[in-house]
Amino acid sequence: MVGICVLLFALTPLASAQTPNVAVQPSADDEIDAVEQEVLDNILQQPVGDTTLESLDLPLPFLRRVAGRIIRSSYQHRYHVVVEDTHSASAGDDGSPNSANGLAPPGGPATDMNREQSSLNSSKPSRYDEHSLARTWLYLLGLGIVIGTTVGVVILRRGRRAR
Amino acid sequence: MMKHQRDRDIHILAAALVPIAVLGFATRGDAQHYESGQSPIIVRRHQVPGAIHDYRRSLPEARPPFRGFRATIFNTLGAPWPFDVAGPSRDPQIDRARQLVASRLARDGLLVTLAGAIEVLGPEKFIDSRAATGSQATPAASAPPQNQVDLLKSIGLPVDLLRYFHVSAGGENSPSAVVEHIAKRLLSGATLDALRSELRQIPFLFSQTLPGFRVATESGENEIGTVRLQLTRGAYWQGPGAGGNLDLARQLIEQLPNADFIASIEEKHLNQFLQLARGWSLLRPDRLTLLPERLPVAQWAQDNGKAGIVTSATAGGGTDDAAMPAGIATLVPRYAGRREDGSMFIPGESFLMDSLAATGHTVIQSPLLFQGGNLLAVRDPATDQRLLLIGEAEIYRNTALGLTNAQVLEAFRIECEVDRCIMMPAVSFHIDFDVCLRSHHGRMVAFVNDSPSASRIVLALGVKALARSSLLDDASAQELLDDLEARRPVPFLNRLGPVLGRQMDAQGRFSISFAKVFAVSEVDSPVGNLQRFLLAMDTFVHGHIRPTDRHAEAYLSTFRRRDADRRALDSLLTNLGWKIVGVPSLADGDRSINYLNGIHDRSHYYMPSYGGLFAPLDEAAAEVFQDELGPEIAVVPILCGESQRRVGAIHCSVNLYPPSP
Repeated sequence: MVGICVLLFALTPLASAQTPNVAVQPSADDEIDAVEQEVLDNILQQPVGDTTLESLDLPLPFLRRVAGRIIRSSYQHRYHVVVEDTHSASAGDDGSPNSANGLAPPGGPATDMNREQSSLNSSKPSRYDEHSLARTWLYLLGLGIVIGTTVGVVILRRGRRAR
Repeated sequence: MMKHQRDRDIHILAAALVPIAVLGFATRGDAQHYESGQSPIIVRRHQVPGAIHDYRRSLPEARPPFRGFRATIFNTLGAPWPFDVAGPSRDPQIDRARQLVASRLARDGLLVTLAGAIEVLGPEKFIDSRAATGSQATPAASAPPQNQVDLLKSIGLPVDLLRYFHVSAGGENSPSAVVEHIAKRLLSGATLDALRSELRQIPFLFSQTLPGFRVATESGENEIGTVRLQLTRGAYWQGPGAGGNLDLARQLIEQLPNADFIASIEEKHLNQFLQLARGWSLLRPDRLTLLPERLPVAQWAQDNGKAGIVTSATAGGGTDDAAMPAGIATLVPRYAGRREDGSMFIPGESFLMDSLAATGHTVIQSPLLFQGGNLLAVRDPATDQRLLLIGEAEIYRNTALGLTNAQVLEAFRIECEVDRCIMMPAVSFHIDFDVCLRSHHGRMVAFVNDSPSASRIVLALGVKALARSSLLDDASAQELLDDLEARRPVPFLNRLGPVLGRQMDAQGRFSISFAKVFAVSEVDSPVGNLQRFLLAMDTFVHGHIRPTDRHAEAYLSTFRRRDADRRALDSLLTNLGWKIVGVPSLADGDRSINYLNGIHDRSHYYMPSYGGLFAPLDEAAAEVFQDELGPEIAVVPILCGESQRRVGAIHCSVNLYPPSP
């Protein structure tokens, strides 16, 4: 399945990145969108003993600033990725995947905001052409075909076992 | 499971041994010269008895399940504060009371939660039996026995904070008195609901942990006498110029010739570090004191303590920051921690304070929780007031202990001996990444991040690097530079997008060989520089494109919200009468190129610099500082690129103390 997705991406013309962007008005940023809500939920559901972080009664404006940092960090760690030319992930001497050479040496980061990354599960390959509607639809179409095929194979196998 | 059981055993053992052992080790600090004769380095070993060390090692890096937890760096409370539940108790009332504290303390406040816990446990337990039977007893004798207060401590209540609640004017001021007062009210038939408003009326009168302590202001009033550092390694990360922890230390030692240095370092790195430091210009005997530690040590000395002085002037109520200090001192938090969403306890960061204290340095443990990088003390020359700027996370750490916002602000005001505390939004995690304050010519100047300017400079430098590597032809590079100059983000993105797209693999990843285009020296970071270039693109374009992908949209909307937060921060500072000066600077976690996280003395600003590809950005930032501060203040760049890639810079890495008399 992964292979097919990669193939789809490879077939997607890079020229789509040349699609002119259209300047837009900023959205109403005080609205909490689905991604931010998911991150907020993840923050509040972190365990603290028998309870969760929700018990700390942190104010929403503060939580949104924390969530903003997590969203930015997660996105950057997912989409601003540099790998060795052999495509093995680069790492520092402490095994951290992402600092300069890259790479955080021991001593530890001042913040550890990476635990909430689960909300950013998109496997879109590129940062700078995501406004390309055509490419997004191609991706979704390919994904649908792969999922459909997989489900079909599973159903067929189950059917055989049942017999 | 086995490990848990073992850890519990260790906790129990330590609870018994710590009171005895602490008395012993407090006097066993051991000075050892690194080399015979007049060595510039002195190693001071502080022996920690095995039982205490085992207890400390058993404590995890975690948010303490027991809210009231306090790191036992001194034996002031007789026994370690409980960190976690040792298992289900035999008493369901205790379990209920624990649950109540964990779930309601932040919402209901300390006294109401205390009342609820007493009600669950049975108020009669908290009344002295002699008083209850009508026997003659002094007020002190009628208070609940200490073991009942310990019972409340064992369910997670921060009972040490109770002594600041004055239940009766002129009466006894102790946790026991508060507990007894509430227990009596419950026994007299008062309901919890009725008590709720009554308890809110009880005055909160915080008292300074060490009278005479005053936090050092950081707006350029003081010379630097001593620098406290924390060293994480024995050798350079990459090398001199990379700006890692040791490189930063070396530069400070070179640039502050009049200052002495004291540094914690994990024991396992000591010998290697001593070899390295042989080559440093340490100038005079005993200039650098090393404190070996058995637990890991992080770089961020600013966060586990706040530097200050104890002055005879302050003891007498004086207000002159430049008064000769009777001694330097460090205010340390209830427990040292990381993170802003709750407080993650970091054992080594608290316990290294024992070694510092063993050198004769005054260490004061506050009952408050804080990370020092989020507290910034200044003296406003216009009003002559000492002000403490507090990042909002530090307020919420303490409301989690059951205090109100107002009580936390008042407690910090008294603890740090300032005239006023001002809460600031957490725009960039800690406020020392958001603002750099300098008292200058009778006015406070607030240097703040000008991210749009920084991003355009970063992009221009990246475009030139691409052109040098022939990934862009000269004409295209010039068009991109023109777009930057004219602030045309959309055409810029449309021109550069395909160029970057050609460098991505099928999964949208860049190769290290491409990243190397962005490095100009051996110690420059190809990956770090490319990441900053990509961040600069996002910063430049975020308000002008609308991606169709919801994650990208969520990502870019965080930039817009942060811009709004920065405007609010500027307004807050402007309303204080301070001059706002934008510095081309990026504050974005481990992608930062930040110039505000520096340190001042009377005639210098030691400015973080990044070096390498972005050296021209360093120069642009330095020029802003220099233009504003004039020739009498020297702007000294300190390379700290690798530190910035780990979310810190100079201010994060130091505690600064004024010269001793």
